[in-house]
Amino acid sequence: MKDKTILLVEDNPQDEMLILRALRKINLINAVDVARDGQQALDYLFREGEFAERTPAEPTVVLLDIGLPRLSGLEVLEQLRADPRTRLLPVVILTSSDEERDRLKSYENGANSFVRKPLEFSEFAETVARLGIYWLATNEPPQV
Amino acid sequence: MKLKPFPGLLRPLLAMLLPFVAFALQSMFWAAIKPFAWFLFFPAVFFSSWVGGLYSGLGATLIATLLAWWFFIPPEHSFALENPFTLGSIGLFMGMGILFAYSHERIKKANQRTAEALAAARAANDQLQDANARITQLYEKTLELDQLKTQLFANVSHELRTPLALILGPVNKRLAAGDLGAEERRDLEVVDRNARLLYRHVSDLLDVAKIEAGQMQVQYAQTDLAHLTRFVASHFEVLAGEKGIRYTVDAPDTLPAQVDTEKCQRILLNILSNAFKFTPTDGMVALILKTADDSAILQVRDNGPGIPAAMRTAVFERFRQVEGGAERRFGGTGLGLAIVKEFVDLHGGTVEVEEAPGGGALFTVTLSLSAPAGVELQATPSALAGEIDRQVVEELRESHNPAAPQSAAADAPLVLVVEDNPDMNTFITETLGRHYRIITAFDGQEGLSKALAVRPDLILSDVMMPRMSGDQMVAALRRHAKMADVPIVMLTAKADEELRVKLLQDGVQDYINKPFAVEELLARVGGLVAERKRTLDKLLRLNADLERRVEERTAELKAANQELESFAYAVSHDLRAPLRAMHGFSQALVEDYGERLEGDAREFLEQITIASRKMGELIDGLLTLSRSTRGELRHDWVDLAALSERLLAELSAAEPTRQVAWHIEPTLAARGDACMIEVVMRNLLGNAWKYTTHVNEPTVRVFAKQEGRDYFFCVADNGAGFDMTHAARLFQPFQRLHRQDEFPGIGIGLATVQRIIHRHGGLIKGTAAPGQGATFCFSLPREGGAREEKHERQDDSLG
Repeated sequence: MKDKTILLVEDNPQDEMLILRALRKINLINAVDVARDGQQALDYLFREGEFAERTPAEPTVVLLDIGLPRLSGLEVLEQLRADPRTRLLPVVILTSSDEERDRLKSYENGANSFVRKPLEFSEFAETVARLGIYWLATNEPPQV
Repeated sequence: MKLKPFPGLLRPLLAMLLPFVAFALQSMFWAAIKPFAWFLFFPAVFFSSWVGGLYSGLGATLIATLLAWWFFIPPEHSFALENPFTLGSIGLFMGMGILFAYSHERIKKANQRTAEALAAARAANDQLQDANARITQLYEKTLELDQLKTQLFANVSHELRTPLALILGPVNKRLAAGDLGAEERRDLEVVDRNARLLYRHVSDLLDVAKIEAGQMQVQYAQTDLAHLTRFVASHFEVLAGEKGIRYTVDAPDTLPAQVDTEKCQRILLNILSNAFKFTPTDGMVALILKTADDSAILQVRDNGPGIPAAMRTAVFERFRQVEGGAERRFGGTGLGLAIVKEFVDLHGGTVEVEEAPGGGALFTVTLSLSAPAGVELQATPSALAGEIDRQVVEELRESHNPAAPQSAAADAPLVLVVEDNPDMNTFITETLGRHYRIITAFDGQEGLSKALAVRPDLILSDVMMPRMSGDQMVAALRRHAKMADVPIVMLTAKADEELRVKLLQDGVQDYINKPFAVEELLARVGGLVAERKRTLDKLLRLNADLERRVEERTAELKAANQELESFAYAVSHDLRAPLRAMHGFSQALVEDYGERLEGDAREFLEQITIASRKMGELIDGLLTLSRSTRGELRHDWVDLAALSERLLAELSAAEPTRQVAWHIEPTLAARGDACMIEVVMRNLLGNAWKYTTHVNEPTVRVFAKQEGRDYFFCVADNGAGFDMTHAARLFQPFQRLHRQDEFPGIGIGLATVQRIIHRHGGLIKGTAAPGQGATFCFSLPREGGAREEKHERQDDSLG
């Protein structure tokens, strides 16, 4: 896997820890960057603010939570899809909400996938692992 | 011989003294009188009974007898008798005395009677004189009254006719002038026509009154009856032409007769007018004049409705009309034929009516050609006042007077005017037409149909109208619910208190007495219309107000719902995260550091895991429960059979070790929200699955059944069942009928199921017996939601 990265946008520290743990288990930990709110995520992706000096490697996939402070995940998604630089960027909505309208809105806003965080930890870890493998290995991103 | 009035006792006393007087005298002159012993006693007893009456006379006779016998009959101074024949003279004397007494008594009685009779005769005479005097008085008074009456007729006639003449005169003068506008001409013609009508009615009434008072005199004159007949008949020619009536007059060239011309004219006029009034268009009227012996015979025949046999004499009565009620077809005072009869009677003739051959009425008047003997003839025949002739004919012609075009605004209130008199109708229409839109009708029937068709804002109606009277129309109108709030004003000329009260009871808002002033009409109509408009406006405003409040309330409810949604959303998101953390880290701890954990440590972590899982289930359950009452309820057709199949397969896949047999009825179509129905089936089937865990051959059945008007879907199992005595807690949230170690669960499934079913307007019930399984049945009505309120009150957990 050549330099494929995951951008995890998650504000909940516990969830963050659990996700990173799962990814560590399948040796994808080095490829993960974390943003803790919507604005940070956007700054990271557009190389603005604190991330102005980031190395120009776009993440292969963004794992985006919906419930974020300041800017919600869906709004982030909107902005990503509005910008030509990130229009095709694969985004996986990873959320604990099981509201139908969240799911529909996600797809409407242009998400590539919608995954619910399962309650059961083992299931959760497995889901995350599968996601990581799929999006970094199986799936072929638009930009190489 | 008049006797002095002696007091009662004195006379008999005096009478009884006379014999003594006679004795005294006779004694004195005895020498000369001797031997006539009775000489002076005869006059004595004669006068004593004359003076004293019967008993005195008798007494005197006795005394005289004794005196004479003792003193004068020889031998003197004794009662002895020398000569026995003297007894005869004594007897004779006594007899004579008695005779005198009785005779005088009789005379006295006779005198008394005569005196009485005379007194009575006098008294009678006096009475007669009195009576005579009274009669004379009365007679004089009668003469006076008679004169007054004559005076009265003359006066009244003058008083009534003069104003009418003063109305007709100037009006006719104006009409004759050429400078009239169309509207003014029409108005004046109305005045003229109605004044003449009034004139005729007044004349009729006065004639009748005169006849009744016996004041009507017949003035015979020599005239040509044929000429007169033709003259009167000619008045009706125009009318016959207008109405398309075949009109024939058959009379000889001349017919000399001695009659009262004026009265004959009236007779002819009235009978002909009657004929024309009742003959329909294209009918026939025939007038025939002929002679028979010494009489003239006048016949008028028509082919109208005729007169019913029962009415043939009554029709000549005063005020009698064949159709006299409020809905009569033809107007009139009912005096026409009565006057005919009176006039004919005054001539000594006859009038009768019978059915004409071919239907209709045949009037026959028979008059003598010569005046009664000894009657003076007038030199010149009197003539009928021209107005009456014309008026009679005019009355029969319908006046077509279109009302002036109305100038009311297009959205002015609509008034329906129901009035059969064309002039009155026009007048009202014109008066109101400036302010309101007017629709007219000419009788009650027409009024009723027009009112129902256009629904006016006000109805103005006369009472007396043909076909259907005003009060009948009002009664009919008020029977229609949609006419209940239309104000009605009645025009009434009938001085009938009873009718007015009845009208008000029937729902008439107001009435105006004829004649009325224009201002009054406008004021009353205006008032009612305005009030109605106000009421309607108020109603509209209230309605709008209500609509607004309903909208507000709905908005409020929507807002509340919205808040609830957001709340539930927040809950669903924020409550799960910490749970996940708890669960996750416990698991992570076990996985990564499990070997280092001693003793109960793993057990404790396990417990944490279990608890957090439980918590998650609870949250899910609650969220589902709350969601089941929120949101729109969709109306899908759900294939319960397929759904049950899928859910049971899922359950089986999650627990492959369990062998559960299920039977699902092939076609189970239910109508409801698909997601929620799935929640229901998931819960019911899940329960059935769970509670058959300890049974040897667990079976789950899904079927449908009809109970009365309801169609139930049922899930039955042969599992643990439950005790019906606790059935009340079956559908309560968090209430369980089994322990956690018997069967796990949080007790929220059935509560959710009940909520969902109730939202659909259906029923749910559960029946079971311990150890014998349970059956849960629910209904989903087609309409949905219809029985929601009912179910808040019912406790349908007791199947």
